Amino acid sequence: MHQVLFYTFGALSVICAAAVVSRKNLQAACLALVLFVMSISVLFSILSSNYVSVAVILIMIVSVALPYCLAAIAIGRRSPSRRYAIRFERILGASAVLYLALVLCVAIAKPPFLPAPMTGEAFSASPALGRILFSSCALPLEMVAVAIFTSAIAASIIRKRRTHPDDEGIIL
Amino acid sequence: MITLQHYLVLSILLFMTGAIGMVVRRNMLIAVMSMQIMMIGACLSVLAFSRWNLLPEGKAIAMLVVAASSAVALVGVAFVLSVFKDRKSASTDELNSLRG
Repeated sequence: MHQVLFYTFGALSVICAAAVVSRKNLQAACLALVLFVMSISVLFSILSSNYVSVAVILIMIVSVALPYCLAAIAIGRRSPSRRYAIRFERILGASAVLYLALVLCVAIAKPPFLPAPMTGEAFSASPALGRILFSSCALPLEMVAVAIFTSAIAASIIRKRRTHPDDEGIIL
Repeated sequence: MITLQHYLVLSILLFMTGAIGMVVRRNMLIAVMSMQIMMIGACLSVLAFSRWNLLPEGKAIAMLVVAASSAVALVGVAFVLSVFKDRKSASTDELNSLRG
C-alpha cells in the first residue's frame, strides 16, 4: 500500500507541477497549485511527518494559494480559455473530494498499510518536533517569524504604493 | 519497496519542473508559483533524508522552509500586483528598467 500511495500521489504531484508551469490560464494554474499542495502533503504524511503535512496544507493553501487565486483573477481577467478552466476546476473538485475521502478512510481505519515509523513513536510524535523547534532550532524559528512579519508589512507597503496619482488601482 | 532514491528522484523532478517554469514562462505569477514548487521539492528531499537517517530535525527545517516560502509568496504576489497596476502587464519582458 505504501508503494501505491507513493506512486499515485507522486505522479499526481508531478502532473500538477507540470500543469502549474505549462497552463496559460492563471486561474487553472492556481488550482493546479492547490492540488499539488494536497498531493505533496500526502507524501509528507507517508514520510511520518504528519505535523508538517498539516502545516503545509494550512500555510500553503490559506496564505499562499488564496493570494495567488486573487491575483490570478485580477491579472487573468480576459482569459480566452475559460471553458478549459471550468473543466479543470471540475477535475480539481473531484480530486479534492477523493483526497478528503482518502484522509477520512485513513483517519477512521487507523491503517495498517501506512509504513511504521523507522524510529518508533519518538520520530513521528509532535512533542519531539516542538522540543526541537524551541531548543536547537529556536534561532531559525525566530528568524522565520521576523521574516513573515516583515514580509506582511512589505506586502502592504508595496500594494499601497502609487506611482501615478490618477491610477485607480486593482480592486480585489 | 520504496527507498530513499525514489523520494530523491521525485524531489529532483519537482525541482526541475519549477526551475523550467521559472526560466521558460514569462508571467511573473507563474514564476513565483514555480519557485514555490522548487521549495517544496527541496523540502521533500529534506524530509526523506531525515526519515532515512533518523534525524527529526529535518522536520523542523522543512516546516521553517514552508513558512519562509509563504513569506516569499506574500511579497511576490504583492510585487506582481504592483507591477501589473503600473504597467498593465505581468510579463517579465516588460520589466526592462528599474524606474519606479
